[in-house]
Amino acid sequence: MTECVSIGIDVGSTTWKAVAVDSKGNILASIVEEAEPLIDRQTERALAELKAQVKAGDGVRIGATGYGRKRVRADLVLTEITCHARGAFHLTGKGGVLIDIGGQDTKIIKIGNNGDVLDFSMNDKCAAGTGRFLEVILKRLRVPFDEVALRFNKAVNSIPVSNTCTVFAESEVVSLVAEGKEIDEIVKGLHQSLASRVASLAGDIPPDSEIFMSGGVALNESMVKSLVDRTGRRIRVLNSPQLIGALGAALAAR
Amino acid sequence: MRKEYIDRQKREFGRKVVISLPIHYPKEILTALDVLCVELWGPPGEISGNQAGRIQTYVCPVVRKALAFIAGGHASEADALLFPHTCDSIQGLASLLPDFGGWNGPVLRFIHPKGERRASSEVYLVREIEAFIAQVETLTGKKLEPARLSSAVKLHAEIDALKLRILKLRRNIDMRDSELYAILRRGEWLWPEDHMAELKELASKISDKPQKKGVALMLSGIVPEPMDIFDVLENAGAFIVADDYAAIGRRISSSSAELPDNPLQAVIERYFALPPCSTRSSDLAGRVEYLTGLYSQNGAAGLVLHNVKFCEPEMFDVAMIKKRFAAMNSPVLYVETELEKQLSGQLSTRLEAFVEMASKGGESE
Repeated sequence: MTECVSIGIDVGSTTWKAVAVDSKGNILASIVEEAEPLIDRQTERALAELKAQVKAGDGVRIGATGYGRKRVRADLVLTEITCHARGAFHLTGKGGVLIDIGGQDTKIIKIGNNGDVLDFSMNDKCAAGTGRFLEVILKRLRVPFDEVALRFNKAVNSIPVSNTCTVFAESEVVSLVAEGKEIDEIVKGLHQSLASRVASLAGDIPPDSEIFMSGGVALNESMVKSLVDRTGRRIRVLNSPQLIGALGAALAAR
Repeated sequence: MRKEYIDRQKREFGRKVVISLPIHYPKEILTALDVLCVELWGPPGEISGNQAGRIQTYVCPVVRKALAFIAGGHASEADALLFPHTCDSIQGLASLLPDFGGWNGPVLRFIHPKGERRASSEVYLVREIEAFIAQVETLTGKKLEPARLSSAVKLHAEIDALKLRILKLRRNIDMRDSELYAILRRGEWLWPEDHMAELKELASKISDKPQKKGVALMLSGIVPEPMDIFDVLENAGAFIVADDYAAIGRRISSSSAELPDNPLQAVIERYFALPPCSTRSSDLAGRVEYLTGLYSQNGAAGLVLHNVKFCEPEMFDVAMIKKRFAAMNSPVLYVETELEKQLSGQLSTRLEAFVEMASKGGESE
């Protein structure tokens, strides 16, 4: 087996991710699991598992990112913004605009042709426009994740969810359900509303910039489709999108 | 501690106490008439009581929290309140306060001229300062003596010169930014001579060589609240090399070297020698020039525009400042806070990511 030189850990609000990489930045192994409240304990256990998988020695370097990054004993601690940019550039080898929709925040990162972060924007007020927003409303509608795409595609029309606040949006959805509106149409409208918010955060993306997507929400094809429709642009979802931050942390820690 | 200090000022020195809203007012007059000025920038933290709910939530938190504080009866130690003409919201608060209760004492006003220095604004300012003197004389029952005003002007000019030196040689002081700013901000409520003593002690710590390493940042905004913004930036590897906070740098008059003998004229000169400020409606092009100069002279590598949410005067200037710095390829981050007790996790991440970006994110691939 190729030698593991570093491990990146991304402690997100929804999921805990880690990747082990070799000296070329190839992913040797990874772990994705639901985030637990006791970050230290989860990190200790899951990190030991990953180290065992790749037979990593004590000298392996650790990079940490994500909202719980400061709770990790690491050689290097960087924000998700820098790490997602690092990870995306490593996979694509080019600059562009990266949309990362995570559990509690959404980031738009402009990456230069050498992989540097040139600029970024990020929601910092509440869960509006984030993965948590989708999660809360879909839970209220009792729509499991594996049914989302089916329902989205089945809906002929969409019912927009106008509230930006997650809590108010949940009340709005309850009212829509009480009025007898079609669940599928609400699901479609929900994704379109979120896409609209993300696109507004992204602002004007230059036509020559490629658009990439990372983060757990990139696994939701209805969300990707809504973003494509809203921006009128092609969006490339990166491989294993939820691992991009951890990959960036591992690469930075090498 | 602050309350004990204020009580002692009244008890031991017989001083009157004025609680002032931000930002610009002729403090020299208050000092000369033996009035301790305690500034009300919020206060930070949760709003207690329901008084703040009496004005719209889209009014700036400085005003909403000040209303909660005053109408909640917490200004009772003051002999008067002072409302400078900083913005419409503060003026509106002064007009509405009698309806909200919680304060029945005297209210002082200082309506400073807006815009650039002109012959008409000089004439206006003289009249306004004379009117302000009359208000404070009525409050204290004392007559303003020119000699005392001269001494007060000299004292405040010395304080400004010290602050200017401290900020200019910031790199050479081995002290965390949060500690340094805490000392600078104690001037918001200390008697000027006490503040001067603390500043002298701080200035004595200036060494010959730079003590700070990392990403040098310039901060511009209204007030550095929450104060943990400094710790977040410093822990991320940055330090403050230039200051344009309305509460700090924009109140340091650069006229300390040569002032006219006439103390009233000296107050006028000191006012017009203040750095550009959105709340004084300074010419925007001039303000942008001033900021780019401050930025480059101090070798800053990034600018953080730290605004108080809903501060309209400042918001009007932000777009042009961002545009100019973008044209210089200088990184700019715009953040808004609401006088919270501490920064949110997301806001901390934005600040840390900005430091990483300004330092090129460590090693690049």
